Amino acid sequence: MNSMTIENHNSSVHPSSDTILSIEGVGKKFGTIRVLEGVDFSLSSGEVVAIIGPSGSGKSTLLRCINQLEPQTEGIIRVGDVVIDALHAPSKQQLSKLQRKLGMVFQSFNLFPHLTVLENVSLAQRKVLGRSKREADERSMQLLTRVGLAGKAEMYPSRCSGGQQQRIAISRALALDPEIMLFDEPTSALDPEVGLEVLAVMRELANSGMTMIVVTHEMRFAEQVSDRVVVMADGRIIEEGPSKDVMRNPKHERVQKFLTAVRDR
Amino acid sequence: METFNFLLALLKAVPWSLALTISSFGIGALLAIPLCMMRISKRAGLRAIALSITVFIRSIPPIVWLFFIFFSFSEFVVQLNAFVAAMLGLGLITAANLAEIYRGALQAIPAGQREASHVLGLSFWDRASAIMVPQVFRYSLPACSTYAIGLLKDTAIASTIGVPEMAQVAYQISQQTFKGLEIYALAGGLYLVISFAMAWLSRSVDTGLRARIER
Amino acid sequence: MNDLLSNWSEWLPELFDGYKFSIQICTLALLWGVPVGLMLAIGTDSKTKLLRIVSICLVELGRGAPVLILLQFFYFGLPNAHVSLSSAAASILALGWSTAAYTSEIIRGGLKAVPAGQREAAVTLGLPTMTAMRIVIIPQAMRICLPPLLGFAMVMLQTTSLCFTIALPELVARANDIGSASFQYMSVLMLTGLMYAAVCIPATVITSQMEKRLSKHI
Repeated sequence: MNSMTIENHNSSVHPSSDTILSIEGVGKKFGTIRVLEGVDFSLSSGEVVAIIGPSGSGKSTLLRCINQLEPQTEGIIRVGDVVIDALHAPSKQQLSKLQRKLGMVFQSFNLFPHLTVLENVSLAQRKVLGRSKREADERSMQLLTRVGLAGKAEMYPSRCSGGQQQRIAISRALALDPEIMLFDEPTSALDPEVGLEVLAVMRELANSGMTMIVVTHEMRFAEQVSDRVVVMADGRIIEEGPSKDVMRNPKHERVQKFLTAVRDR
Repeated sequence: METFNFLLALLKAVPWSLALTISSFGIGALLAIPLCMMRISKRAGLRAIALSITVFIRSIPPIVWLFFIFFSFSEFVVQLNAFVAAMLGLGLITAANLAEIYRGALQAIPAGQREASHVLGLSFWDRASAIMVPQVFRYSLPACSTYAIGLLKDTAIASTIGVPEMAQVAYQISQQTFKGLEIYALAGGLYLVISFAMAWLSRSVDTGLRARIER
Repeated sequence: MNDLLSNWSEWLPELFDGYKFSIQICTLALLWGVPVGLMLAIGTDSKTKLLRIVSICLVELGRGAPVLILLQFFYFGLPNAHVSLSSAAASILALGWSTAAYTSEIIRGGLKAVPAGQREAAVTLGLPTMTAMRIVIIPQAMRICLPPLLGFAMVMLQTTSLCFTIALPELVARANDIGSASFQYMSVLMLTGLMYAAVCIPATVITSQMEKRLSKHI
């Protein structure tokens, strides 16, 4: 646990007027096992941040703390006007408000296998946002067309390839008009060529101005599409900065080693 | 005071219920061995016969088996007393069920062990007794004890052919005193207590075995 | 042999009548028992202490007492509490309770077998818990439970044979009547056994096919 790039670390906690998410001192323990420690991070509206790092660095856990799939054991998470403190369990209303602001895409897609693709995308719109069936289906078809899968609307997810399923999962999350989209290793379960379809959708989404946090192993995406890259190891942020800077000229030795290893495979 | 007498009468019947449970289980546990061996035999014919026997036994209600053995055997073969008839009937059903449990346990033993012991040159009987049997015993214990607890409840069926176990006593008292609510509640409670005791016993044995044969 | 067959054809109509009764009672018991089993499956894991305790008690009693005792309790016992039930009503209640207790365990297993990711997706989409259960989790759990539930239905059909002790005119009761009238117990019991087997054996085959097909999807 040696040098952290102090200047980068502090500059990330900038309370700018369009800060849409901020995390202060967040830590997470599972029993006696520490997975996250002292994480400070903030996100501005429209920013795309990639979180990279070796396995076990806590990247996914951080994402899951943000949307409270796992509550953090220390620290404060602020998303818009929702403040979640580790010391006070959030109320149902707070959690519900939080979920509305965040959309999540999982590594294993998690589509509902017993519902058609259209039903998958429309379900939450109707039950959470109260849209009518017609409204919801219209919006679903818009999104499915946007990702090129309108033809799959009446099929069941099992009939779609992995890349298609993930694109449908992205549509499903977008259908609720979230403020921030969270991606947890979206292409890790896909073959490389298939992953490209998904990355293309994510790139288009980024270009359209969506605020995104992407935990990923896709280094090219991290460098080219994201605005900022955060590198994590052993449960802490060890380097952070504009993507091109971090990816091309990392300051931290560990980051240099990691990037070289990943590039040279 | 009457409640106490009811309880006493039921308690006197407990040994019958337990004896029936234990003897049927014993017969079934033994008969299940050849049946299981047929089920996993290399000869398709034997496997088919064993499967048919198992499915057939389990597709007919226990009470029909008991009646069949009690009435028909007595008619044509030899006069059986009710306890023996119940023991044979329940033993038959137990054998069919335990054979499946043994088979499951055998399949749970990693195939590598069979291969390793084969390569080491152990004879079939050595392999069976030293390697397979202890593990089959260990792995099938939970399912066997669950079955045994179910068997205790099945022994209530023997009341229909006159075995003086708990359900029979409950029925007699209910018919004589018309206090069905009380007696059946007591009988039900007693079955529960004995089931819990059996479950506790099997958990202790299981924990003890875990220490000796780790998965 | 001819005697046997002619006897059998003579007895078949009445036995069939009794069998219809067995099947009706079994169906009714399952019809209310399985939904209650689902409620108990959810109730036994509930965070509300009272609900949890009540559910666990109902399950332990329904599973712990022999079905014969439950049947006779409802038929011979309840009159003491001024509730007189017909043998059909008592059968349906007792068998239904037994069904609810046993199926609650089966369904609990099914609920646990639904991948955790499904629950997580529902949570991140903001679906309220009840809605998520109703539309996402339970349908998937029931699909997984289908083979063991079908197996249980067959056990329940066989269990209706015990209702003969509370004067229900089902299959075994009729067989017993014929047996005591004709003294040909062996013959009529063989036919009775075959009648049960005729339904239970195909059902067993269908259930194992279902299990094979389901495990392929996983």
